Amino acid sequence: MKKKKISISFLAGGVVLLIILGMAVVPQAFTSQSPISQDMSALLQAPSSAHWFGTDELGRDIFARVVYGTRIDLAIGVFAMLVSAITGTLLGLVAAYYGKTVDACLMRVLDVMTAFPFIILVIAIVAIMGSGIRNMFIAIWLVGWKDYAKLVRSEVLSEKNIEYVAAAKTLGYSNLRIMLRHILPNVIDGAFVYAISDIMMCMLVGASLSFLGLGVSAPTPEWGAIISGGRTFITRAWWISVFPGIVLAVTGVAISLVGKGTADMMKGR
Amino acid sequence: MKEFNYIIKRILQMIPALLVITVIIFAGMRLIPGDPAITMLGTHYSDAAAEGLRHKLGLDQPLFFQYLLFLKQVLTFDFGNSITMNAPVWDLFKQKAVVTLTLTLVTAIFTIIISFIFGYAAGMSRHPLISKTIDSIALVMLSIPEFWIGIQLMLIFGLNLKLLPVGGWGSTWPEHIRSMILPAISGAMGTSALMIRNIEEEITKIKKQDYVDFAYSKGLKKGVVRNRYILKNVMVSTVTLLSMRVIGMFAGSVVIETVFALPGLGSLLMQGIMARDYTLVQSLVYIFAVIVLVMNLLTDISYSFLNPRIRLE
Repeated sequence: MKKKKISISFLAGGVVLLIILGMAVVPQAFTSQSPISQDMSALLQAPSSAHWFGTDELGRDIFARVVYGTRIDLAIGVFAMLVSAITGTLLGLVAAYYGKTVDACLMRVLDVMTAFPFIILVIAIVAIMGSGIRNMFIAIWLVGWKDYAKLVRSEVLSEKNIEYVAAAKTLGYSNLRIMLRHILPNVIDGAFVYAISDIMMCMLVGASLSFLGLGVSAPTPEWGAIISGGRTFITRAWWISVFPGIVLAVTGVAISLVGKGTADMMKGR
Repeated sequence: MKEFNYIIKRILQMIPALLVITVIIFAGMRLIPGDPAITMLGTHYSDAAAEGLRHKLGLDQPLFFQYLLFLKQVLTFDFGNSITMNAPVWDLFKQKAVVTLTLTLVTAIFTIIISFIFGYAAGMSRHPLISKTIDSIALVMLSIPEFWIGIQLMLIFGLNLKLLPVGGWGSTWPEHIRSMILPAISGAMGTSALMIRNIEEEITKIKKQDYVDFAYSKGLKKGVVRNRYILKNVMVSTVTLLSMRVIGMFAGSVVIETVFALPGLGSLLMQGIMARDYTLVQSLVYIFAVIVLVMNLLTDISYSFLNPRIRLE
């Protein structure tokens, strides 16, 4: 059998993603400038060798702000995805495994949840709890788990009738053990692939919320917030909003490439 | 007859869901910290004014009674007056819905054009370079935030080239449509990317089916096979995807509307949230929920028309 080679796009995505991870972990290694210190002698300066991405209306270095913002945006993507994925997977697993009433309950909850459009629900939750990064997390979590629950539920429904589950039951294993040790590893692939692209979706939602003024607020560097802040000066300083958007898109593409590569490798197993 | 029963069943199923939705919206509104009367009055606060407003909003009534009041509003589609805009919510909705509906429609048209051209080309081409290029374009389109591309388009075509309006809605229909072009392109990006992938995957899958081989060997022309045998079968999943995304566009237009200062439903909702106009927000969220439920039902029904093999049960 031909051994599956690692594709170039996977490799390229991986390298870019590593750089971005580096920016998130040690931002000071990428820029010597501070993301929040203001410089009144360098307001709205165009990109130059001193300020690669230019400066904003308070003389802050955009490159530094973008680099320091990486940590926040990536954290939103990864953690919002993780909490949703774990909650959704477990709920879908339990509901489908026990079936009947438990499953019916989950389905009704999902029915109601689908009635609310994603962004409206997130905005409404943030409105109820107040804006801010923590509440944004909670909002994405409360809305995001349902896709995982749906995915895992349908997988478990077909999986639980396979012989090995019956065998495990005959051996007297507890339901918990059967669910977590036997069924879960067999149904997790789909959710895993979805989760990788979900990181990007969560990042975009987080950036959109910050753009609307409902997420990360002012001095904190976050890509969506920087773009939003640059909107006022769009005619005089295009660089403020252009660069964070490009970095966001590049990050998204890198994550998708890595996700696609991983999915291909999993298929090849 | 079977279809009819199915539709009735689905509509009946919607009733409990809608009831739960009203409870959630109502509870959500009461969970907002602070006294709505105080937040709404802001600097105009006085004890008497707050008392008056509470009475007007029914907030001096017991909770259960307040819920019944909301339920009555919901059932009669008479949502009362928006506090901050001083107009009936239903009128505001109708007025703003025109903008959002136009935006959604133009966006959907752009999405269909973009995704079918690229998806068809990628799926049908035998040249891997073409499909690879289109895949990459789709990937980039999917990763670009719509508000960012909106701002850039506005800068390039609106401010620098002065070809299209920068924002706003205009006052005549030609102006309306012109003002929709940039928002629609921005909004169409993400959905187009998903649709391109979907169309491409479906075409590649269907191309290999026996009935396509048979059609070719029957001596049918390439174009006939492509349009009648392949494209028609691609439609089923594509229409589903599109209709789901269109519902999302209609209800989730808030970001695009904010970028282009369009006076649509998304802007209205944001205004309501920012001004703490609870009557407006709770009514709007409810109306959106009803629209989504109805549209979902219509999507499910349309399955069986597009693909008679799917039985409605």
